[in-house]
Amino acid sequence: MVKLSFIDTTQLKTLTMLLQLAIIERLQQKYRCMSSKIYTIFEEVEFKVKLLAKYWNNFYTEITEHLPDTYQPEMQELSSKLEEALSKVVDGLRNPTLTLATTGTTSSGKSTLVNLLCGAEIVPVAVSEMSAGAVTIEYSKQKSLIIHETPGALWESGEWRDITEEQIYQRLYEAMISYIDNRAKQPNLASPQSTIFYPFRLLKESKLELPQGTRVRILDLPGLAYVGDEGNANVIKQCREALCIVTYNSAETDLQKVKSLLQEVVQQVKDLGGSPARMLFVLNRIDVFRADRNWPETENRFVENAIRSIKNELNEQLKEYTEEIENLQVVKLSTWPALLSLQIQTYDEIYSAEACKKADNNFNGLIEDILEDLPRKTQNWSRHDRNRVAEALWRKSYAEEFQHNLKEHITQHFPQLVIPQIIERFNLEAGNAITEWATQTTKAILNSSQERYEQECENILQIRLALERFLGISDTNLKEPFEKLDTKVKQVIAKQSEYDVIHCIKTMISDLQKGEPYHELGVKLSPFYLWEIEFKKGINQVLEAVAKSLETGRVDLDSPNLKRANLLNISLLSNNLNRLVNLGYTDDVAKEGKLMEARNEQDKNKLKQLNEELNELAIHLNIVIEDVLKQISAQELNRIHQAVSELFRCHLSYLEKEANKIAPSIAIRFPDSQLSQVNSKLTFSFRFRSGFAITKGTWKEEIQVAKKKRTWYTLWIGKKTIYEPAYETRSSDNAKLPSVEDLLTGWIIQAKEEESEIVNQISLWLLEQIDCLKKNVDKIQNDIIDRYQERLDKANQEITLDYEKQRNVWQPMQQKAQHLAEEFYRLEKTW
Amino acid sequence: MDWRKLLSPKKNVEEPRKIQLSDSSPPRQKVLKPVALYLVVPASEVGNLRENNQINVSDIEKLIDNSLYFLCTSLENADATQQHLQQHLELTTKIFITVSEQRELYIRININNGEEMIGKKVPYILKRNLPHDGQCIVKELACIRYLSVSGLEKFNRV
Repeated sequence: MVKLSFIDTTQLKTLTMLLQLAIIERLQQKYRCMSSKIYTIFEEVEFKVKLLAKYWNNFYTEITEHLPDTYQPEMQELSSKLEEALSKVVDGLRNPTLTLATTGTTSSGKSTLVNLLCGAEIVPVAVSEMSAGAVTIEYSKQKSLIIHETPGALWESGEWRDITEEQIYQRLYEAMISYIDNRAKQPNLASPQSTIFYPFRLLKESKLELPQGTRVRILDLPGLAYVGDEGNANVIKQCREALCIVTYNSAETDLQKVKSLLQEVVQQVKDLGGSPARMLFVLNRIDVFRADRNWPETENRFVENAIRSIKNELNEQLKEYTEEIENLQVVKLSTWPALLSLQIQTYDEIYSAEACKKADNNFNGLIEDILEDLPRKTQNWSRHDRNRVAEALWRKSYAEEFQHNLKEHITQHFPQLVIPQIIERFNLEAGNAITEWATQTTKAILNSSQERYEQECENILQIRLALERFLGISDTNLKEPFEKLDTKVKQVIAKQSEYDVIHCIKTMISDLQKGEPYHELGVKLSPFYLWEIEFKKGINQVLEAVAKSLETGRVDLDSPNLKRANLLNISLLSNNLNRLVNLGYTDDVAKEGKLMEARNEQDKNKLKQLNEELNELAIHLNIVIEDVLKQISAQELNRIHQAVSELFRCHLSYLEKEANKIAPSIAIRFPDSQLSQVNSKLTFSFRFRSGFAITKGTWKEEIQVAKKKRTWYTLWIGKKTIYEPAYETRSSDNAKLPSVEDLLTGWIIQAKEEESEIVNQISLWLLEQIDCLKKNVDKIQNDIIDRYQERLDKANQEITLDYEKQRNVWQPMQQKAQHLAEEFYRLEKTW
Repeated sequence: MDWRKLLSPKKNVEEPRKIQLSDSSPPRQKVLKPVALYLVVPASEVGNLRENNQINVSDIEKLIDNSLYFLCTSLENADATQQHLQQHLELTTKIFITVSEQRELYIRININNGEEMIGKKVPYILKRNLPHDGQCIVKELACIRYLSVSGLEKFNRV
C-alpha cells in the first residue's frame, strides 16, 4: 500500500536540490571510474568547493531579504573570507606539489632509479650508497645545479646554470667523495645538500596527467647513516607529504645479508614516517634470475617470498598499519638495463655507443638472442640494431610495468596526500565559520521573541551545564587509565612496588579500549608499548655484535642498527674491541670470565691495561648505544605522536558527535587539525654505566725458607739445611674479569631500570597532552556557545517576529542553513 | 701473545682460580639435561610451525631474535611453569593461522641437551648455548589475547 503525504514548496525545493546534488555526485563517481586522470580528481574538488560558495551566495541573497542591515557587516566578512579561502583552494588544487622520495637498501640501485626517473645519468651512482647527503631534483626546462653551503664543507658550493648532465654528475661526485673521505676525520662535517633543476623524464614521458601547475620534484634520500645531520633531517621532514619509492636489492643471496636488508627496509619506512601505503616497493636487479635454468619459476618464487618477507617484517614492526601493509604495492625492476635502454636511444652518438658497450658487457644475458645478429664491436651497431637492443633491455627490465605501476600509485595516493589538507584549511579559514553562522543565526531568530528568548537563554545555560558535564566525564574516561599508569610507574621508581612497567602500559591500553569510543582504535595505540621492544632489539643487536666479536676474536660490527650510529664512534669501539682481543680477552675468557690476580709488575700492567680497555669498552658502548637509541627513539617518538593523534582524533570525533546531540543546531565542531596536534615534543634521555673494578688485594707468595734441622738420615747427629715453604703477604691487584654474559646482563638490567624513567616521561607527557586538549576543547566549546548567546541577544534586540512570519520564512530558512552546513561537512568526507 | 700465560699466577693459596683455563685434561662428556624453552613471538614469525613437529636450530634462533618474552627451564621445572601458564595465560584460539599478524603466539619447544640454556636472561647467550646436536620439538603453540600480559610474569621480557 502506498502511503501519501504532503510536502510544502520549501521542502520540495530542498528535495530537488538534494536530488540534483546526488545526480552530480553519481556522475562524478562514474567519471572518476572511467578516467584515471589525476587532474580530473582535482577539478572535481574545485567544482565542489565552488558549488559550496554558490550555495552560500544563494543563501546569503535569500537571508538578506529578511534580515536587518545590521547583519550585513558580519555576513560580508564571511563572504570575503570565503572568497579568500576559495582562491587559496583553487590555487592549491591547480598548483599542488608532487614529491617523489627515493630511498633504498644497500646496493639496491637507488641512484640508478633516480637517474631512470630523470632519463639521464646525473646522480653519482658509485658513491651514493654511502649516504652522501640528500639531492633534490626540481622539474625545470633549464638545467642548473646548486650545491648549498653547509658547515665545514670542503667542496665547492654555489650555483651553476645551463650545465650539462656530465657536469652535474661530476660536481656532485666531487662533493660527495670529499664528504665521504673527510667525515671520519671531522665528525661534525655536514653532508652536502644539493638541488638540481632538470627536465626529468618522469614528467615528460609518463603521461601522469597531473593538474597543469603541479610542481614535481624528486628527493633522492641518503641511506641509513645520516646520523645527526640537520640538512638531511630537514629533507626527510619533507617526506611526510611525499610518495616514496623504496628499492630493495634482489641480487643479494646471502641469508644473513637478506635479513639485514629487510631490517634496513623497515628502518627506512619508519624514518619516512606515516603509512606504508604511500610507499611503492621496488624489487630491483630482478634480471639476476634470468641466468637461472629454471627462470621464470625462480624469479616468481623470489618475488613471492620477498613480498611475504617484507610484509612480515613491516607487520612485526609497524603493527598499527596491519591493514595498509596487507595492500602494499611491490613491483619488479632492473634499473640499470632500463636506464641503458634510454641512453642507447639518445641521438648523442658517443653517449649511445657507450651505453651499448655497457649493455654488452653487463647484460649479455638479456640481449643474447639479438647479439647473434650484431657485429662484435658495439661501435658498429647500426641505429636499427641499437633500437632492437634498447627494446629488449626495456622489456626484460620490466621498465614499462614499473612506469605503469608508478603512475597508478601516484594516481591513487597523490590526491589523498594533498586534497584533505586543502579542504581542512578551507574549512578552518571559512567553512566552519559559515556553517556556524548560518545554523546559529537562523536558530537565534526563531527564538528571538521575548518569551522564546528567555526560554532559550535558560536552554543555553542547561546546554552549558550538560556539555561541561559530558566533556568532564569524557576527559576523565580518557585520562583515568593514564593516571593509573602514572601512579604505578611512580611507585616503581620509588621502589615501592615491582610492577613491570610495560605490562602496566598494556593494561592501560586494554582498560582504555574497553569503552566507547576507543574500542574502534584496534591496534592503533600499540606504539605506546612497542617502542620498548625496538629499544631492546637495538640494544641486543649492538651487544650481540660486541659479544660475538669478543668471543670469536674477529671484530665485526656490521649490523643494521650499528650502521645508524656515528661512523667515528663505531670505529673507536671497533679499535677498542681489537685491543681487548689482543690482550687475550677473547674465546673462553670472554665466554666465562675469569678471576685475575696480578703479582708482578708486568702482570699488573697487563691487568691495568685490560681494566682500562674494559672501562673504555663501557664508554664506547655507552656512546654507540646512545647513538643507536637516539635513532630508534626518533622513529618511535614519531609513532607515539601518530598514536596520540589517532587517539585524540577518535576522542574529538566522539565529542563532536555527542556534543551536537546535546546541543543541536549550534554547529559544534572540534577540528582535529587544530586540536589533535600534539603540542610539546616528547624526548627520551638515557644514560648507562658499566665497567669493572680492580681491588687492591693481598696474596701470599710461597717462599722457601732455609732451616737447619736434624734429619733422620743424619741419625739426628748432623744438622741439614732444608727448605720449607712459607707464605709472605704481598700486595696485588685483583680483578674479576666479567664474562660477556655478565656484561650483557648488566646492560640489560640497566636498560630495564631506564625503562621506568622512560615510561614515566611518556605518562607525564600524555597527561600533559590530555590536559591541554581538554583546555582547548573547553575553550572552543565555550566560544561557540558564547557566539550563539551573542547571536540570540542580537536577534532578541533587533528582530520582531510574528508567528506567521516565523513559520513561513524562518523555519524553511533554518532547514536551508542546516542543508548548507551538511554540504560543507560532506566535502570533507566524500571529496 | 698468550695472555693467559703472562698473567697466570704462580700458585695462589688464598683463593683458588674458579676457572681452570689451562686445564689440559680432556673434557669429560657431560650428559646435558633436556629443557623447555618458552617463547612469545609475533604471529608473523611463526611460519609453518606445527605442534609436535621438529624445529631446527636456525629457526629457533630466528624465533629468539624476534621473541618478545622468553623463558628456559629444566624439564623437571617445566610442569610447574606449564601449570601456571595454563591457569593464567589468556589464549584466544588454537587456529592461529587465521589470526591476524598483530597477534602474539606462545610457543613451547622441548630441547634435548639444552641444559646450558636454563635461566639465561640474554637472548644472545640463549642462542649461543643452543645445542647444535639436540632434538627440538614444538610441544605447544597458542595465540595470546591482544594486550594480555597475565601468566608472563616470570618470563624475561626482551
